Amino acid sequence: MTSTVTSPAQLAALYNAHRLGLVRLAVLLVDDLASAEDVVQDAFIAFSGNSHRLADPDAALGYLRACVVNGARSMIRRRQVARKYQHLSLQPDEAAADAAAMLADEHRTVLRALHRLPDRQREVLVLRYWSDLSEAQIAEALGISRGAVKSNASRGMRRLGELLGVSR
Amino acid sequence: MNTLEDRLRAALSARAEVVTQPMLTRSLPVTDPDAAPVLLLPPHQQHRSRRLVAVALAVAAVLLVAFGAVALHRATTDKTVGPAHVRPRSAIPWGQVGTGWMLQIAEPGAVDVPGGTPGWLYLIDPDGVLYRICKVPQNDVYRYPELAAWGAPFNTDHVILTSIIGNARTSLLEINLRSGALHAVTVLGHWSTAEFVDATDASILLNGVSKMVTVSADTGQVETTFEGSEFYSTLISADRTQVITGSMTTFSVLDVATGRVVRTLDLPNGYNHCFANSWLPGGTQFVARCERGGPSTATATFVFSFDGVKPPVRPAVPAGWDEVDLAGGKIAFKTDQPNFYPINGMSFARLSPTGQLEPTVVPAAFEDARWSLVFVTPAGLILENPSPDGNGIDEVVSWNPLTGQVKELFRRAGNGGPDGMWVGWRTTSP
Repeated sequence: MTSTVTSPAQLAALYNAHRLGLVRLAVLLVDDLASAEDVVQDAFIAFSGNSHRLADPDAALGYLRACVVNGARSMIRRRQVARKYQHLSLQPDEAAADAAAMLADEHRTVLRALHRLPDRQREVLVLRYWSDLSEAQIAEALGISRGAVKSNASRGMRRLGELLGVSR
Repeated sequence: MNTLEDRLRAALSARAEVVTQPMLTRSLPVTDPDAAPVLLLPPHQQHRSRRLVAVALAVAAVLLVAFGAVALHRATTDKTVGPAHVRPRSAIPWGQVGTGWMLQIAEPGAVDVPGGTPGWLYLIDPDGVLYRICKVPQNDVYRYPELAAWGAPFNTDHVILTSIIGNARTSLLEINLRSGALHAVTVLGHWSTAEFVDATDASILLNGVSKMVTVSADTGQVETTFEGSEFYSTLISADRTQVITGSMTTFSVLDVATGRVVRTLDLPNGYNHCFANSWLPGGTQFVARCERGGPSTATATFVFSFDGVKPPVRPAVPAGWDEVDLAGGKIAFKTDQPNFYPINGMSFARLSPTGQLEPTVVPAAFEDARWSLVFVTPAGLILENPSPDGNGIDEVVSWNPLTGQVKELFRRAGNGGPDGMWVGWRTTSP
């Protein structure tokens, strides 16, 4: 089957329509804007090279979303390895610090708790409560079963509640 | 008072908008529909030396092979002796392995540890004795292993773990529970479920919701690609030659060898988005759950005939209630949580053949806020109780609200059992 997302103009339209939303998704999975933009850039580059394989043009956004989640995960892994072997303390990201300062205390508290969750639980909660994806869409984006989506959402929300002192 | 979900949504939206605010104020190129997309390669990708990359890849490959050999040796060497309730795999009474046995993987901790210690795969008998099988490699590839297939109707001594890896690939790790031997293959694509097609172990059926294939268990090469673009659940026929899968509007029966649709099965009026759950004894009827159309998101359970005879009419449960078949009758339950099921706050009721609800008593022990409904088997509802510190699961039970029977399937021992979170578990089907 031939994809209809292969022409440069259509790719540009896709890029312009979804780049901001995907960067916002990536920002919630990695720490800072620059990394998030890199992740999304890489996702579009991967997509531009593989879009001819996409049987269903409507699946483009789902494919890109999966690329962003995987890219964010890879970036976090690389960072963890780098930090493990880096003896010098990392300079704080000024832009990220500024952005954090602009958030209300309540939001900062919730986000701090969210970042204490395991990666998989955090990814499920971000896709569920920010991207508003269905269980099936989250399962596809993360490459896990719907049951795993349910259990990670359950455990993540339960742990989040505990960290925030909210009884559920 | 805002719910935790509302607080989380608000915090995520705020962060996403605040952090990306600079993007909105940057000068962007004017969009010309005929122009190439604005895909700016980072400088280090534009100027990276190919030779340097090749050398780095070669060094990485050598290191990978060396570390892999060491990891494989460690994983297949069963020399650790644990506490009394943890036994080596050589002590497994294979003649007894069946209903009530479980497989679990323990994660090093609830919070990821870079380079963390590997997790162990355990076979657990109905009395809670743990048999240590092997260490699952906890490198980047198997950081998030999932127990994909195990148990009935065959292969009680083989299990498949799946793990998503980069570049749109999935690693399938087959573990021989008798020897602890590992065999990994890499397949293209991301897949939600994996199971052996038949008792030969030669092929593995992979379902990725929007695609379904069989691959060679040896090489990972695709053997069959199935027709269609929606594959909600998979249920292989008793003779292992056909597979049932659901879609938004129908069930399809597909030929395993060719991937072609053999026939379709109609869904009950007013229901859609059906998932095939399990076969009934005899292998000619199967149980499926379907979502009710319209504003209610409740699901109902139906019995379908594999030969295509229309499903029997079932009384509809009241809006908002979910319905499941259990041994001894039907049970309905209701919760206001869309994605998971904390027992505290849920209502359970016996469902009469005419659709009447008769409330049942929830044991006081399950009123603790931590207990959750995680799985349904014909024998009962599977509930789990996580540790108070959020660091693992303390207990798993099967509860049949119709009979009031509670059977403990797993309890973490307090005297040296595996630490950390149980990231996956499976039990054999009755």
